[in-house]
Amino acid sequence: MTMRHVILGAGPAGLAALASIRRNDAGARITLVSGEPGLPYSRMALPYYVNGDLPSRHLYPHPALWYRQPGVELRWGEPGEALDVERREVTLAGGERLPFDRLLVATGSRAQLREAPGIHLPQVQLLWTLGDARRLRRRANGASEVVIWGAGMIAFMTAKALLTAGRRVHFICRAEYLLRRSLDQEAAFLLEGALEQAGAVLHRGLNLAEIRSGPGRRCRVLLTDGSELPADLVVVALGVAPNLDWLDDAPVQRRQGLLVNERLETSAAGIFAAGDVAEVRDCVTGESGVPALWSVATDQGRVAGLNMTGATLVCDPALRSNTMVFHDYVVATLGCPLVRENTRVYRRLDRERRVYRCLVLSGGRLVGAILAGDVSQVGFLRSVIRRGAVLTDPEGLLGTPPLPGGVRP
Amino acid sequence: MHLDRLHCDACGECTAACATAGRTARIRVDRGAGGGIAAFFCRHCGRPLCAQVCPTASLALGATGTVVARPQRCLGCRMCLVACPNDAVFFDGAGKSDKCDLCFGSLRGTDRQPACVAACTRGALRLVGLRHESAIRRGAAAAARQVAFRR
Ligand SMILES: Cc1cc2nc3c(=O)[nH]c(=O)nc-3n(C[C@H](O)[C@H](O)[C@H](O)COP(=O)(O)OP(=O)(O)OC[C@H]3O[C@@H](n4cnc5c(N)ncnc54)[C@H](O)[C@@H]3O)c2cc1C
Ligand code: SF4
Ligand code: SF4
Repeated sequence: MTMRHVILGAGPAGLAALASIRRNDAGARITLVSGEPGLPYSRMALPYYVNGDLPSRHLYPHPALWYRQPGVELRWGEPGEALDVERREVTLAGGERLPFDRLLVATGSRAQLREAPGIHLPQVQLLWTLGDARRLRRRANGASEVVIWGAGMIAFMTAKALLTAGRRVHFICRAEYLLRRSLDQEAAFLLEGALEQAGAVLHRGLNLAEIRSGPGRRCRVLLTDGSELPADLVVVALGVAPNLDWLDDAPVQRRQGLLVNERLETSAAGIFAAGDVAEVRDCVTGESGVPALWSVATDQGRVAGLNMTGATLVCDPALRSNTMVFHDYVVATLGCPLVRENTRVYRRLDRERRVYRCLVLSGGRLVGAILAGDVSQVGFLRSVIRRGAVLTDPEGLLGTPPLPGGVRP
Repeated sequence: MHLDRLHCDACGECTAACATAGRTARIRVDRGAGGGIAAFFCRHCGRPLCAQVCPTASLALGATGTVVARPQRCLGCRMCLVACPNDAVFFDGAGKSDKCDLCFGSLRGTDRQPACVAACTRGALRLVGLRHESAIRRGAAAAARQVAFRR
């Protein structure tokens, strides 16, 4: 009997799952549902589209033809609206019911708009979907001053897009430095230096109080210390939450995200979850959580897809890793470098070369790293964390010699 | 590609030859602090982690088994660099990825060797069967996964 697979969500998790189902079971019938209109695109590439670096055709990881494989059907613009676990069917927004044998929930997450006076003014927006990116690109055209409410990864990516397009960017940063959940102060300081050189202004230790309309097409952003910033545009980048509300009270266990076992199956047999909706174990801390990272989504999608075809593959627990690139300045984070309990921290800072390398070990094992300005051996270090291997010479990995000419990892 | 570490003396000829053959040098061999050889070059994995994470399919496993870079699509985001356990993705001056292509374009249909292999003074670098190589890699990946889970 041919298996009927339904994949809800066409982000990295959904697309990786589609590819692995196809590879493992060429006869399977697969319906891929994307909640947004148009061909599936890469969310991560959006900032590069906003500043004009990336032609829009490269936003799409696969051409339309790729989806026209035998047994594969791509549906877009109709999000799933209800799940009936008993009858094994998903209802789409248009009312159609899709029966399935195996379901993958890969509906990702969504940026959150925080309530504040003036938040619904037309100058205020998010950057999460292609629609948002198009709007931002259009509006940034005539803009010179942009205020970003937030200081995390999405705030950084938004700022990067606008700074490289020559706009002045103000960060409203509640903490003392940017990317507080990913970086330590030294690394953040180096990255901030690069941003400030390009015209970024950080408003540290402050929050947004209100947004007021005018003068003209502009608006004014009031901060908690009473100061005021004129802005052509305000981007809210405060955090994301998994897209779970459509599940209503379907009997599938969830906390922050959908709870899955090590094969990525939810509490309902035959229903899997991957990517930003799934709550999984962290490779370093062992704690359960939603990493909400691109690399994790691709890996989970691949494993979930295989398991939907009957494999019993155990998914590697999530290994957090991320990169922040501004012009030629690269910062990479691995594992959990901010954990300070029972850890030994090795670090070296070279202010002149703007290089900072920090390795965090626990019981001899590498559990986290922050590499700024010189990311050599980052992939090796990642594999060391993954294997839980003992690092015998952490000092030796702190200072790597300048690379031979032309080689710039 | 296989590097016989016993015969390598980290002379850097491969790096220099590679830099001439492409946009950047895509192989690097260092002598580590302990005297051992640290080599960074692409194994053309059967399941390439670099291509798996690439948001724009700028890196992709081609039909011939080589993993190739298409710099026009590259964002410069470095996700591939972090994912590759061999640190085998390099970046050019414009921040676009570049990696070993086994000199595929220029050697196709000839019996010549990739530039680095031809330049290796000690015969330490060899090109071994792609399929064979990726089978070895797959085995290694499976073993690594088991180790990770025994903890
Ligand atoms: C600007 C920006 C920059 C980013 N930069 C980084 C970065 O540098 N590093 C990093 O690790 N991560 C980054 N991220 C986060 C990263 O994009 C996400 O972690 C990743 O996309 C998650 O993949 P996913 O497949 O789980 O979900 P998504 O990519 O969010 O895809 C979800 C899919 O589900 C669809 N969908 C939603 N609801 C429904 C429904 N009810 N029914 C059917 N379909 C539905 C959506 O339309 C979409 O196709 C960035 C995100 C943004 C917006
Ligand atoms: S670049 Fe790294 S991950 Fe990619 S194929 Fe080569 S060795 Fe494998
Ligand atoms: S740096 Fe380029 S090749 Fe590497 S993952 Fe990003 S887009 Fe892909």
